[in-house]
Amino acid sequence: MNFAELQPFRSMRSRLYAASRKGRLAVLDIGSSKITCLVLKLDPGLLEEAERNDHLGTSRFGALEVVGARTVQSRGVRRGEIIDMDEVARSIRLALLTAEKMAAPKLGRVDQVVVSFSGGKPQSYSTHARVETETGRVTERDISNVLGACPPPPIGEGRQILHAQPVELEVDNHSGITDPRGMEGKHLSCAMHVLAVDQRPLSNLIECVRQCDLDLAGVTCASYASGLSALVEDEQRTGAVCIDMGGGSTSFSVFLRDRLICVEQIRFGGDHVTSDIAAGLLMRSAAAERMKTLYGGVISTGADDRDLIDAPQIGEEDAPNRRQISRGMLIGVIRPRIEETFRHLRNRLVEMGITEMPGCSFVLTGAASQMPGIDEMATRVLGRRPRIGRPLRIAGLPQSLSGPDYSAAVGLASYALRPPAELWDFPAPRPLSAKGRANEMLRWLRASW
Amino acid sequence: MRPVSPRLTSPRLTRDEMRRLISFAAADNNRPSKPEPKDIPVVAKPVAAKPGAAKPGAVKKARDPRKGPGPSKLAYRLSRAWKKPMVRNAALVYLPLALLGLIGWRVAADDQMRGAIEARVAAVIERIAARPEFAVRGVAVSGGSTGLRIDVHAVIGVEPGTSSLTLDVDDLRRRVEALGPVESAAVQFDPQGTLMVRVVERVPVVLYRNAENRLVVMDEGGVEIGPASIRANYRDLPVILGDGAPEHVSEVLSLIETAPEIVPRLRAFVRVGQRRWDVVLDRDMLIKLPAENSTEALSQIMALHYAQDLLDRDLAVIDMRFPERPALRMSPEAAETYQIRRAVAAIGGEET
Repeated sequence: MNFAELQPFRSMRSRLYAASRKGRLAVLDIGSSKITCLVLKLDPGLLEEAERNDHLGTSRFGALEVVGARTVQSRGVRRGEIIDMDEVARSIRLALLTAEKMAAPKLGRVDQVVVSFSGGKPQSYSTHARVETETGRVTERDISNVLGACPPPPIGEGRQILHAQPVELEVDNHSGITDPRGMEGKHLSCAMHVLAVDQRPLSNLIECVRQCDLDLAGVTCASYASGLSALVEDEQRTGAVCIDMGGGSTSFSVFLRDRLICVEQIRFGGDHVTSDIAAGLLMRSAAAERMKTLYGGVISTGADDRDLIDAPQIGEEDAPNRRQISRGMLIGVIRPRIEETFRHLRNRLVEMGITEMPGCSFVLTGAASQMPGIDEMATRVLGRRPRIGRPLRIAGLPQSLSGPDYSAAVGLASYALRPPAELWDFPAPRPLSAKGRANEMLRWLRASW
Repeated sequence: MRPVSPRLTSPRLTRDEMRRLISFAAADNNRPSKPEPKDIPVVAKPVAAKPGAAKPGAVKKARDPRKGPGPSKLAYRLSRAWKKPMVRNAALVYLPLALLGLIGWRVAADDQMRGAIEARVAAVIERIAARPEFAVRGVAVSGGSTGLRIDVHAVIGVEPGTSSLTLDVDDLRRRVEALGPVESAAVQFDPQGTLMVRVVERVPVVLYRNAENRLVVMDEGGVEIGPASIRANYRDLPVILGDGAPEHVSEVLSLIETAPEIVPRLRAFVRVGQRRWDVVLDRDMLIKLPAENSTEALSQIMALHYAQDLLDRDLAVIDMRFPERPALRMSPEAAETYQIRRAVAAIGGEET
């Protein structure tokens, strides 16, 4: 892997650490239908203590408090990609200002922000390398060497790495090692998960954040973030698929042994259901959205044919005798799209061999997962019963923001609190300096006699 | 913002172009199973600008009303800058202070302006002080004798109608208390505007003959009240004299209390050597009292007097300076008589 082109990520990391030292951070979940901003207050002392004492890092959540939260309608975003930078910047400004206003008694202004990115056709690659250790014991230099030896995956022209996480470190074919430093071994091998996205939409997003006078302290894939908060720790360890059903797209992230191993996206989402209703029943999209959220469902029952609901046609909204349709008819419009989404999902999961993964559970999250009967449909199509994943409960999170549609935002907070080891957290491999060489000689002498 | 394709504004569409547009719109809703046709006009091709073709400015103007809610960039920047403590302090504290300081400095530096302002302030204060609400209605003195009250009135010297704001009540009180016969004074305004002066007069208890051989009146603290110009006014007051006598007036009073019978015969109390008292009675009788426990010594004498009429005898000096060894000295005549009697007795004559 080329360490030189990861410099922007390194500076983002240092900004993130600076923000957690200052104790002020905002996270922005920029989705296709809503932008959520959470203003976080971190206690640096508690955070440091948790870092030292708690290996699992769960007690870090004690240092976190949500002091400001705001969700605004997202304008100028389609399928996670920006189509109108002015509008997006305006929405971000609105969300951030109002969240800061809510946070005002406890916190001043926030400058650093962690952003989610849900578009750009994320594609997962895996890469693998094996090196001999220099001294017979694994040192930090060996880890840097093995990471540098990983061949860069063929991500293609106009694509960019968003995440590059070492998934598995092996010392002499002994796997499952979390920290190999100081271990004895001749060979060190590393498997890495690399997530690549389109460069253009990502740089548009970064530019948008920059236009709002904010320092970018991190960019993550939205489905990864929702996996971080919707999956409980044991699920992340034993293996789980988090299916994030958003407005513009549906994506899933696969976790195993606390690591993200795959992200995939399907370009179907809740907005498509709405546009199906609007086109199929000739309704305004606002009315279609309202009908979907109030009466929508996936599995129809006998009672649904007798339930009549208002479904005004375009131009007939104020007419005295508005059209009424049965709920079954609405479900008949919604169902095929959801089914198609799940079919696509199943195909992808089968393609990647994830369905054969042992102990793999499915978790549905995201706004579209709130539709009644969707777990039933997922059971039928995917062959395994999913659960509806709500985001992790963190201190200060308003009740209105604790539904499945906010798991990405909460996941961003979790990401900021406990940033996972990425390639750019390790030093680049470099030849030994004169001092290092002398140290090596001294060590060798001491070891020999 | 993507520039609108000029094809959208062209008057006629061919069937082929129509199909392309439809597939372009449909591409938003479905993931294309086959790769998108390469010739879809995602970006405007460099077509020669026709008159009436959409200009970027015109398009922007048409879009304006559909802008989403949210603060403008300027409002956003201002409101975020306002959250910086430095900026807020500068705007709320330092800038006004600097302005104030600048104005104050300019005014202070200009003599003419400063004079004008001072005159104006003085005029305003004067006008307020001259209001009838602040005028003194009168002076009421209570306590003390009539003569003292007249003196107090003279000392205060406040005419009715004077503004009470210009009066210093503390100073008035000090001036009243500086009068000899005044032990303490309280000066205050009552709500109606009258200046109330309450005086506590000193009680004269002794007359003191001072170093200039003048009689002055004193209270029991030894404070001089005034000259006793007419001795007859203070006929029943005891006279004291000697250095250090004024400091021990209270001892004199307790002596008198111990022996009220000597009062009619009393001439003076003399302080001797700044440490003890001599009591001078008529018929040139002298009682020398000790420095300490003089009261006990006197009461001892009074006991003798009650028992043996000591004071009625013809004695010159009763010396109690050593109470355990009192001494009496007879007057010369008495001594002579005594000698004669002794001689007669020695001869064997009868006692007369």
